Order: sequence, then structure tokens, then C-alpha cells
Amino acid sequence: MAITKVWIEEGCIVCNACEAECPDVFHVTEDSCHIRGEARVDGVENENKGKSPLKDELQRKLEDAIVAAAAGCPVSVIVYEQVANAAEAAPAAPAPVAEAPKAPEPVVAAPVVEAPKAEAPKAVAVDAPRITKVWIEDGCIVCNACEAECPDIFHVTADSCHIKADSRVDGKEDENRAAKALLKGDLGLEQFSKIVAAAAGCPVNVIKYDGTAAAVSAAPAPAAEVPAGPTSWDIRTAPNRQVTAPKTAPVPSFKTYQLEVAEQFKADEAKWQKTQADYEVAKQKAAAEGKDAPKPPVRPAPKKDENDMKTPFPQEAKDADLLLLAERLGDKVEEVFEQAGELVCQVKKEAVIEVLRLCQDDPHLKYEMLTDETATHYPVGKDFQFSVVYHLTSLSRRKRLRIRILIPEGFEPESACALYPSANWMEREIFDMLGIRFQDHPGLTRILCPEGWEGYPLRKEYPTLGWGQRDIDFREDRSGMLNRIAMEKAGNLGINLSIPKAD
Amino acid sequence: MPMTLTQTVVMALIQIVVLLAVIMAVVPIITFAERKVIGYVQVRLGATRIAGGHVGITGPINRAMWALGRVPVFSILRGLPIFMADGLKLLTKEDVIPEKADKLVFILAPAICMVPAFAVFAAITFFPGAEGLFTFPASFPIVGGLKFMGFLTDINVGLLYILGVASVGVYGIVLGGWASNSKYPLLGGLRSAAQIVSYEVPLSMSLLVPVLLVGSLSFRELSVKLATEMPLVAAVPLFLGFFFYLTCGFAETNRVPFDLAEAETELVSGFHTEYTGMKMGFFFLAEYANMIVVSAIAAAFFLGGHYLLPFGLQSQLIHALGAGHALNQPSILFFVGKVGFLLFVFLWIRATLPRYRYDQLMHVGWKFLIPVTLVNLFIAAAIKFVWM
Amino acid sequence: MFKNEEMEINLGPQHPSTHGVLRVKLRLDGETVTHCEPIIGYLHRGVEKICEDKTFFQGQVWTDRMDYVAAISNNLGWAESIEKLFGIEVPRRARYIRTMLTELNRISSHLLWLGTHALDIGAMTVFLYAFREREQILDLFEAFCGARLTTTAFRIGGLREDLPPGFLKQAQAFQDRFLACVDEYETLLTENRIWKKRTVGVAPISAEDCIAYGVTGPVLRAAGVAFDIRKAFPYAAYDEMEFDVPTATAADTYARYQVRVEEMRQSHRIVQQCIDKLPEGPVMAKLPKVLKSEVGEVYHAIEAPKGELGYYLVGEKGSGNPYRFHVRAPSFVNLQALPKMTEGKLLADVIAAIGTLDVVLGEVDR
Repeated sequence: MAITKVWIEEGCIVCNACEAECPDVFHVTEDSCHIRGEARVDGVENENKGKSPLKDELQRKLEDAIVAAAAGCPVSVIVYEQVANAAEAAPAAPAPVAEAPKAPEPVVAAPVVEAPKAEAPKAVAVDAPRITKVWIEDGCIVCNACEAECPDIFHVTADSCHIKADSRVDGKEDENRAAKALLKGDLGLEQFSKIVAAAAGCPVNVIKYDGTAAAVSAAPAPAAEVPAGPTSWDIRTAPNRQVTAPKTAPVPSFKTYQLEVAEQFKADEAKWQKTQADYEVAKQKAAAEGKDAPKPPVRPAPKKDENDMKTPFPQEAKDADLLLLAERLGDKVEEVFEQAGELVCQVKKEAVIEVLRLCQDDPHLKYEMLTDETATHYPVGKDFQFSVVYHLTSLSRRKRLRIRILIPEGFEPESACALYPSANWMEREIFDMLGIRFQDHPGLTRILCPEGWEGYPLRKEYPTLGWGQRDIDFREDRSGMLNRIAMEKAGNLGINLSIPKAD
Repeated sequence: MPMTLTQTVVMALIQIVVLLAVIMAVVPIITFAERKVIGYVQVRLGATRIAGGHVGITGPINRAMWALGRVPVFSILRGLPIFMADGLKLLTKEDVIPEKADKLVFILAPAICMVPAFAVFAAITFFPGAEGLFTFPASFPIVGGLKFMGFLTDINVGLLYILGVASVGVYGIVLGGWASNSKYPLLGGLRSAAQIVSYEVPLSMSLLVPVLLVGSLSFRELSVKLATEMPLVAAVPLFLGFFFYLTCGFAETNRVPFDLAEAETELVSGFHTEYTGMKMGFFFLAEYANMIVVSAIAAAFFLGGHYLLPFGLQSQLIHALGAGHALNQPSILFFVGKVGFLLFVFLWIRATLPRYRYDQLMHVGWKFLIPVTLVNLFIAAAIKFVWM
Repeated sequence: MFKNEEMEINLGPQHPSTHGVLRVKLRLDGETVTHCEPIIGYLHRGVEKICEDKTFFQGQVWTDRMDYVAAISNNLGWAESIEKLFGIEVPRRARYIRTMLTELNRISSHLLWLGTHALDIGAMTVFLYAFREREQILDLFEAFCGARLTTTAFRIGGLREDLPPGFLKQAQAFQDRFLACVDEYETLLTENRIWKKRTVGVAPISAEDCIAYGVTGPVLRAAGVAFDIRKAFPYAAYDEMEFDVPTATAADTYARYQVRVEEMRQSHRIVQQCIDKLPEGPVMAKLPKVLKSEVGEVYHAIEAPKGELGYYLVGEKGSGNPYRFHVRAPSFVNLQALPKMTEGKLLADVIAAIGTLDVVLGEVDR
């Protein structure tokens, strides 16, 4: 294996990456990258458009470095010719690339390969649009849209959007506004569509990017690809059709909140201890060197919030109703807590009807009305996929109570219809929207979607965007629509003059 | 002066043509009046504001009124454009016949509805005087020197003829509803049939009061004698009978509050849901012609017809002032004015009252109107027996 | 010889009196309803799903399009549920303005109900009178936010703008003539014999059934249960307002008519108090530019003109979108009671029952 020739195509962005990788061959000048004269047979220093071969002794020695430089080239303008064996390649080396497949000496078995695909994507990369750098202009509104679109590159902080450190050549994490550092490796290729989508989706248009000419011109690609006819538009490729699955299962709970708070406290404490330890070390060091002692660290005060916002976190259950429920039901209650002034009681999924009956009948509770029943899909829940919540209202006592159960996929909770007839349509809606079946429901059919609807729309894997316009398959042509479509196709203006046949 | 056969035929033809022309002219006027009356009652802008532009017939008036700083067009003409557009729409609409309708009956039904409504006018006396409305000048061919009478014919069973012919109209509604082969029209037709059959009874019963008091069925004789030859007490059954008759008349003509056959919120449009264009227009024409008939009968029998005072009170005035007094002379203006007022009542009620439910309508008919009209008939009979 | 057949008839989805695209499958024995089944979903747009894809700020336009005759009520419920999730305190002036607009909206919704309900029963004039006053209220909305129907009136944390100059004067002008207008509707209907015949005792539903079927709003109050969320769980500025909760005991269509007419008067009273006591101050709370929620779930209900309008929200930590957005639509729940109200009654009573439930299909189907 050896590299016989290397040259630079149009479009060098003068990024210095190649020179850092292989200084013996590449020399980056003000406006382009040159192949050094001392590495070439003809001794001239330029882009080597003439494809002058490399000096023999360098062909094998610098092979790895050149391959690495070519792979690292953000715009993939470094092209080289590689032969399987340098000794065998020697006679074939002068042969131009185009003639290589026609070479009549199969015995030699030294076809000149131009960047085989399997080893490196250079040949493809030359044409494929590729983004070299991304930066954020002033004016970010911290909307999170870009991070949702392309989490590998963007990271939205409290006050601005940053380009992630591990995606950048220089390894810093900031807006990349001044430095305009390059993206690492093939990120610009792999994440091309996502970056473009993120930039297009930015509400204030502060995401800017640069790249190969193809990349810049391909920016409005999604729109340009759509042909005129709506039926032939493959909507599956549309960006919204691809669903980003949620990463967490946000079930509010006092226990988890306590854990989180404790962990946060521990982390803060550890950090503080470390700061103090560092300070001690620095102090001793300073004392040893005879310098002034450094300033003692100050524990950071909690961030002052100037907003009229007080996030209601889960709190311990103090309400008499919750305590009564917890006492009566014993271990059937998984958790009781209060949040935002609302009473929440999470119970075992098998016991929900018993709990509802207690709530309805108990003279101290008297929750007469089931106001609302609904469910939520948690695809990444640990041992549950859905929560079903029952909002009970006591008209006489003017109280509200939320009963919650967490159920796994396939579990069928008992229907509340017998206790609260109002659950009938609500459970049908839950079934329609989330696919949860209820035992002993009097007529569990779809209610809002048509009977033959596929999928359950409120599940998280269900996309928001539809399938676009389609021809409707009429089961029987009572309206004469099929006839009409046929006539339209035949060029008859679409006016159906024939009298429809009776069936 | 006896008339020859030719003269009789030609005279009748002239009268028929004039009568039809008048009805055909009056029906649109009533629909326009309906728009205007209801428009003013209900603050509708279309009927009370929209006017002609700066061109056309009303153009000069409009421009003059703009110049005076007033809303252009006389009040009476406002809403005319929208009315004319509506009429034009009715005439030019596509004539749709449902696929599975019984085509012959479907087409026939509006005619069955409309022809009796117009045929009824033959027996109505618009002016009872023997001198007629005017006399043709002698120079006219054939009919020269003949009188143009205020009625087409005065048959001696005129009232019977009117009731009989008018009730044929219901077949149009029932057949129309049935032939449409659709559920709502069918329900509308059925309702209509039940309603009209139920209300025929109290309607006839209330009309029997004048018949009993006068002892005749001739429209002309009835209308004259009811005004001029009644004792004072006869005003009681006539007064009551008027309201009973008017109620039944509303039901017979399918008007609010008895418009169940076309209750649009329940039956879309009732029996004429599937009808379009001029076929539907025929149903409308028939409805308004029926309204005129009901008003004319009520005006002639109960409101004193061509005389000034209603409920037979004119005879008291004749006693007091003498037959030759100016106030005691019959005039077609009185008759037209009363009919016009009754037509206004039709529109007024439409703007005011909600609709009865089907079973309530039947209750009103069978449980209320029939007993009270019977009682009223007894009162009339007693008066006839004691005072006349 | 004679067959005794029942006739199956579809009332809707295109029908003059189903107020949208409600389809009611009826089996009729003559004109008597033996079976009644509401079929819904013709207007389903997936508002809940769409709002999961929108940020908290963007969801409001979708609430406009649910109960489109009471868009401001929907806006209020939406804004307050999000404020509850974030614990935002709204300035007092904004709460007053919200209360005023919501009550004006209740009047306009009830006016539309009154007009269409009367029209269903055949009294045409009330319809146009009611719309005359409704126009004035819509003019007020237009003056406030530029839109008449889909208002998008509020913002999270308050209002986008204060009241425009002259708004209070215009509102006062409306206030001054409105009570006389209500009296005018009542002269046409309240003692009208035919109106009473068509409504008294029609489509009854007892208080027990109302509670069992989750029926709320004027229908529940007409059954004698004085449950009004404005009193029971006060929100906006209702705790500072004086008003009565009208109730009736007859639980029929006529009682619901009386309750709603009286509610219009009470709303008028609340609007008057808002105008008189309107405090000075800012109309927007101090908020960060971007709202990112913590883990939490809230259910916030308001008294919409149709009944209890509840929003159930689940927040995901650090997310700007609601994780789950659910609407407890009053029309949806109330409509469940329709078979209970109509079976065994006459066809014309079905129309009266649909009218008296005051359903808006945009809200039923969402």
C-alpha cells in the first residue's frame, strides 16, 4: 500500500488541519493548500492540479499521515491515488486514472483505485454537502428548538446557545462566534440535514453555518426536493414525521423530588468541600512559597430570582383527605402528596376501583363526581408505560382529588363506568387516543377517530404530521366520485354528465 | 240584459286572466312584504338597508338623496335588490330530481299543490255589488257594454266548493314528501297530512257559524248578509269564530306556529327538502295563495267583508244611520284593506311565536278547538232560533 | 298485515339544528325516540397532540379553536393552568381585565345559545335580537385584541397590552343598554305560552343523573346544585367580585333557560364591578424569556359558559413544551347525557335537548 499522488481540489477553506496532520506534504498558504515542492517529483509547490507523483521514498512513509489528513479535511478537497503495493504499482503509477480499468495487464493486478469507499468516504465526500463550521450570532432567545433538532451539536444554556465542545476541533464550548472553529471529523456530513433543519427552524435566525459550496447551495434542500404533485411527495422524509422520543418519564412524585433535592444538596456540598480543599491546598502552597494567601472562597448564594414565578414542587401530604386515604387503604396507596395546591394519591393499579368506591362512598370524602379521566404515555418509564389519572370533585365539600395509577403496556385497568357513568366516554377517548383497554367497559370503541384508524394518536411515537393528500378509496362509488376521477384523467373537464346508476 | 254564449265565455276568460294576473302579482308583493315586515321586526339589515346603487331605475332618487345627506332610496324600496335576486335565483336554479324518487309523482306534486290553491279563487267574491267594478265601453268587441263583475262566479255551494278544493292541496304535500324517497320529507309529509286532516274539522265547524246564521252557502250572499242582516248578539259567535277560524287557517296553510311540516330545525325543510328551483317555488306560491284565500274568507265572513264594521255590527250602523249613508256603502277598498291586515297578521305571528310540537299541535286541534267550535256552533244555533 | 317498524334516522352531521357536525343516530317509533346515540369526532383535529408539539406560548391559538364561541374562556383556562404549573403570580389589574373579558364572553356565548336555541324551537326573532347585542361584544373584543372570534387574548403571566383607550367607555355604553335588552328577550319568551309548552318539562335530567354523568354548568345548576367553579374554586378576580349563582329546581329546558338568562344578568353585574373597581398597575408579570417547566402536573378548571372547562398539563423538566396537554371539555362530557334526556321523548324534544345542552362541536371533538 502506498500513495502515489495527492492533490487539492477546488474549495480549500485554509483550515490548517492537513498541515497539522502531515506537515511534510501539505503547506497551507493564505488562500489555499499546497503540496510541498520537496515532496513532489516535479519540485513545484502548488495545489498539484497537474497530479505530479509523490517522491518514491515518501509514498510509503507518509501514507498514514496523508490518509488521516484527507479524512480530517473538513471540506474533503484532499484527493489521493493509492495503490495496493508500491513495488507493483511502480510501473502502473504513471498511468492516468481514467485508463486504469482498461489496463490490459490483469497479471499485474494493480488497478489504480481512487479512494475506495470502504476505507474512506473521500470520493463521496467531494460531492456530498458538508458543513464545516457552525456558529451562533448574537440574539439567541434560548428556545431549545435547535437542541431538540440536533442535540449532538447544539447545547442551549441559560442565556445562549453553545456549540458543544466534543463536536469542535478546538474543544471549547461557546457560541463559536469569534473563533469559528471547525466541526470535528465527519460531524458536518453526518449531521448535515439536522444542522440545516435547526438553522431553518431557528425562530430568530441566529444559527449560521459555512461549508462546501454544495452545502451552502443545498441549504433550502427540503423545499427544493418537493415535486409539484402532492401525491408524489414522500412525506415520510419530512422532518416532522420523524418523532423524537422523550428522554425522561416526567411523573411528578414527592419521593423522587426528595431524592433529587437530596442528590442536588449532596452534589453542592461535595463541590463546596472540593472548593474549600482546593483553597487549603492553594493557601499552603502560597504559604510555602511565601506569597500572600489567596482569597478565601465564598459559598455561592442561591440565584436571585427576579421573576414573579414560584415553581410549585411536590410537598408532603398534609390534607386530611389524603391522610385518611393513606390510613384506610394501607399498602394499596403508593404515594400521597400535594402539588400546586392539588391533592394527588397514587395507588396500586389493581386497586383503583376500590379506591374510587371509597372516595365516592365514604362520608368523610364524598367525591361524588368524576370530573375527568385521562392518561399519559411515558415510553421510557421504568416499569410502567402509562399513567391514568382520575380527577374527582366533591361538590358538597368543594374539593378536588387526583387518583393516579401507573400501568405497563397491555395492562387493562378496570372500568370506572359502574361507579361513575361519566367515565364511559372518557375511557373511550383514552382507548381511542392511547390504546389503553378497560375491563368491563360497556362499549369500548373509538370515539373521536374513525373506526378503522391505525395507531393511537396521543402515544409519543405517533408523529404529528400526517401522510399528506391521498386518493380516497371509496368502497362503493355512490357519489360518482370514481367515475368522475376517471373522466378527469381522460381529459373530460371533470364534469360528470352521466346519470349515476342506482345500486 | 241576457248574455250570449260567446259573451259569457269571453267574459269568463277575461275575468280568469285578470284574476290570475292579480294573484301572480300579489304573491310576490306578499313575499316582499314578508321580508320587509319581518325585517323591521327583527332588525334584519338585508331587508331594511340594502338598496339600489347609483344606476338603474332608482339611481336618480338615490343620487338625490345622497345629495340631501340621507340614506338613499325610499324606505319601501330598501331590500328590493335582495328580493329580486332571490326570485331570480329561484328561477335559474338547477332542477334536481333525486335518483330514487318517483319521478312522475315528484313532478306532479307541486302542481297538485298549486292548482287547487288558485282554483279556489273562482268562488271568492271580491265585490258583491250587482253594478260590478266597471263597465266595458260600448266600442269593445263582443263584451262592449257588459259589466265587469267583482267575482268570477257565484255558485250556490261556493263555500263547499272552497273547502273541498282547498283540501286537495294537502295531497300535493303528502305526495311530494312521499315521492322524494327521503326520510325527512316523508316525516314532513306525514305530519302535514295529519295536521291538515285534524284541522279541517274545527275549520269547517267554525265556518258553519256564518252558514247557520245566514242559511246559505253562496259566498256572495254570505258575505253581504253577514254584514248587513245580523242581530247584535250574533257578534258573539262571529267574534269567537273569527279567532277559531284564523287559528285553523294558520294550521291549514302550514304557517308559524303550526309550520311543523317544514320545521327546518327538525326536518331540514320538511316535505320540500328535495325540491329545488321553481318546483319549490310552486310550493311557495301555493302557500301564499292559500294565505290569501284564508284571509279573504276570514275578511268576508267575520270581518264584515266589503263593509266597514266587522262581526255583523254594520247592521247596527245601518239601523242607526240608514242604508243610504256613505259609511254604509260597500267598497272593495274595505275588503282589500281587511285582507291586507290579515296577511300582515300572518307575518306578525311568524316573527313572534315559536313552533308547537307535533303532539301539542294535535292536542290543540282535537282537545281544544273541536270542543270550543262545537260550543260556538251551539251558541250560533241558539241565536238563530231565538233572535232571527 | 301492517308491519310495526322502527325508522332509523340520522340527525346530522349536516343538519340545521345540530349546531355543527354532531350526528345523532335516532330510532323512531312514529315520532317517539326509542334509541338515541350521539356520534362525534367529525371535527377532531387533534388539538391535544398538536399542543404537545408547540411551546407553552404557542398553544393558545389552538384553544381559540375549541369552543369558538367562547374563545376567551378557553384562553383564560389555558393561561391560568400554565401559570399554575409554573407558579406565576398575575398582576391584579390583569386579573381584573381577564375577568371582565371572560364575563363579556360568557354573555356573548349565552346570547348565541339563546338565539340558536330559540331558533330551534321556532322563535326566530330572538335570534336576531341576540346577535345584535353579541355584535357589540365582539366589537369590544376587536377593540381589545384585534380579533372577534379567535381572540388569543391573553399571555402567560398577564396580558400583552393594557386596555386600549376608550375601551371602558365603550364597554360602559354596552353595559348601560344590555339589561333592557335581556328584558326584551324575556318579553318574547319567558311568558310565551308556546315557548313554555315546548320547554317546561322537556329533556329533564335530575341532579343525581347530572352528577353521575359529570354534567356541569348551567345544566347542573338548573337541577338545583349550586356548583359554580367561580365560587367553589375562585380564580382570576372572582374572589373579589359580588355575584349570585342562579339555580332552579325544575331541571328541565325551561329551567335551564331561566338560569342562563339570569347568568347573563350576573355577568353583567361582574363586568360592571370590573369597570368600577379596575385597579391601576402593570398587566404583565416578570417572567424569563423562555419558560422551561419542572416536573409537575396540574389540573386547572374554570367555569366556561358551557360548564367546567379543565386543562390537565404535565410538564417535563427543562422542556418548553407541555409533555401532555389534555382538555376536559364541558360539551364533551355534557353530551353524554343526551340519550338519558331524550329516550322515550319526541323527535322535536331531541332538538330542544341538543339546544339546551349548549354543545359546541369544536370543543366536543377538539
